[in-house]
Amino acid sequence: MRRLTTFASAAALVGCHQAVPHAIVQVPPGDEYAAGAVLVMPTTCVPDGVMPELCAPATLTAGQPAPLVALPASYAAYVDPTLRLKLEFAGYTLAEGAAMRLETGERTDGQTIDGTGASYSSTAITGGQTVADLPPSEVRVVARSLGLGGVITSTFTISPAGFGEIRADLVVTLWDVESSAARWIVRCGERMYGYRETPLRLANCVGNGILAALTPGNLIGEAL
Amino acid sequence: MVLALVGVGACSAEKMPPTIMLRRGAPAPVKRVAILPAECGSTLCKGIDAIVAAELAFRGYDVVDLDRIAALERARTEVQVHDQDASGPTATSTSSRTVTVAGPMLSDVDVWTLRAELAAMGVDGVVRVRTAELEGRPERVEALIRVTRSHDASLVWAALCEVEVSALDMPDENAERAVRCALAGAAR
Repeated sequence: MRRLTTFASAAALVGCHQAVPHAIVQVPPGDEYAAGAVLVMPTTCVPDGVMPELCAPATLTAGQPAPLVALPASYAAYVDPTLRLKLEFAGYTLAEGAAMRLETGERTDGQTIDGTGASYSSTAITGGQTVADLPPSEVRVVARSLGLGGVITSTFTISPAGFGEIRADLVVTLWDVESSAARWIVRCGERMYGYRETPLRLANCVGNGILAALTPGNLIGEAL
Repeated sequence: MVLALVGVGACSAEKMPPTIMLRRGAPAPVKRVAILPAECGSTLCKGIDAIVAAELAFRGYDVVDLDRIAALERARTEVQVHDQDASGPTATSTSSRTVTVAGPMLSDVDVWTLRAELAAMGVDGVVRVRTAELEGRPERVEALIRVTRSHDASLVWAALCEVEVSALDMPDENAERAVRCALAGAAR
C-alpha cells in the first residue's frame, strides 16, 4: 500500500512537469529575417515507416467507444492554430492557402418555417478551389501574383521510435518565392504521447522557436 | 496519499495572472477595417468575431463584415404553401414558408476579386483574430488580435494574451476570455 501511495504521489507530481521538447532552428548564413506577407499552407502528415492510418486521427478510434471530443480528420486541426498565432506575433502577415479561393464559390442560404412555426436555416457553399489544392510550383506562382515574399510549409512526420513506440516531428519551413530556397527551418520532435497532446506541444515548440530566433522580444517566458 | 492529493491540487488550484503583450507598428491612421474569419482550433469562432467587431466599432473603427456583404446581386426565391383541409367537420389550415437566397457573399469570392473589392470600399486595414490551446500543465489559451494595413500588410498593432484555464471550462469560454483579455491589453 505504501509503495502504491509513493507511486501515486510521484505520478501526480510528474503530471505537473511533463518534459518540454526543444526547438532546432536553422537559418542559412547571409539570409536575414524578413517579416512581411507570406502564404501559409495547411500542415500535412507524412507516415515514415508506420501505418498510414496514423496520419488520420479520426480513424484511430474506429471500432472503439466514441471519445468525449471527436478526433479531427487531420493533425492540422491541432497544429495550425497555435503555429499561425505564433507566426503572426513574430511579425508575419499570413495569407491562408486553404482559405484563399482561386474561383468564386457558390453560396445558398436557406430558411424554412414549417406549419408548427419551427424555423430551420442552412448554408451551403460549393466549388471554389483553394490555393492549398495546388501543386507547390503553382503555389509559388499564385504567391508571386499576390506579391507575397514567401511560402510557409508545415510537415508532421510520424516514424517508429523502437519498442513499439512512435515519434512525431514537426518541421516548418519558410521558402523564398523567388529563389525557392529555404530561409529558415524550425524542427521539434518527441515520442508521441497522445494524438492531441503531442501535435499541440510541437506546434507551441516550433512557434516559440521561431519567436526566439527571429523576434526574441516577443517570446513569452517559457522554456523552448 | 495526502502527498498525491497535494500534488494534484497544485496543478489546478492557483492561476497565474494573464500575460499580455502589445506591439505597435509605424504610426499611420487606419479607419475602415475588414475582419477576416477568426481561427480558433476546435472552438466556435463566430461569437469571438462579433466581440472584436463590437469593441473596434466602439473605438471608432469602421468595421466591414465580409459575411454580410453580397459580392454580386443575389437571387431570392420565396415559396409559401398554404394547406386547407375542409373535408372534416372543422376546417384546418397550415402554412409553411421557404426562403432561398443564392449567390456569393464577399467572403466567398476569389482572392484577387476580394482584394479589388476591399480597395474599392476604402478598406485600409485588416483584422485577424486567432486563439489557440497550449498543451501543458497548467492548460493555457492564447489569443492574438492583429491589425495590419491592407495595402502593404504592415503592422498597425497586435495584442496577445495568454491565460491559464481550467480543464473543466468549455473551450469557447476559454477562447472568449483570452480574446477579451487581449482587447483589454490593446486598450492600454
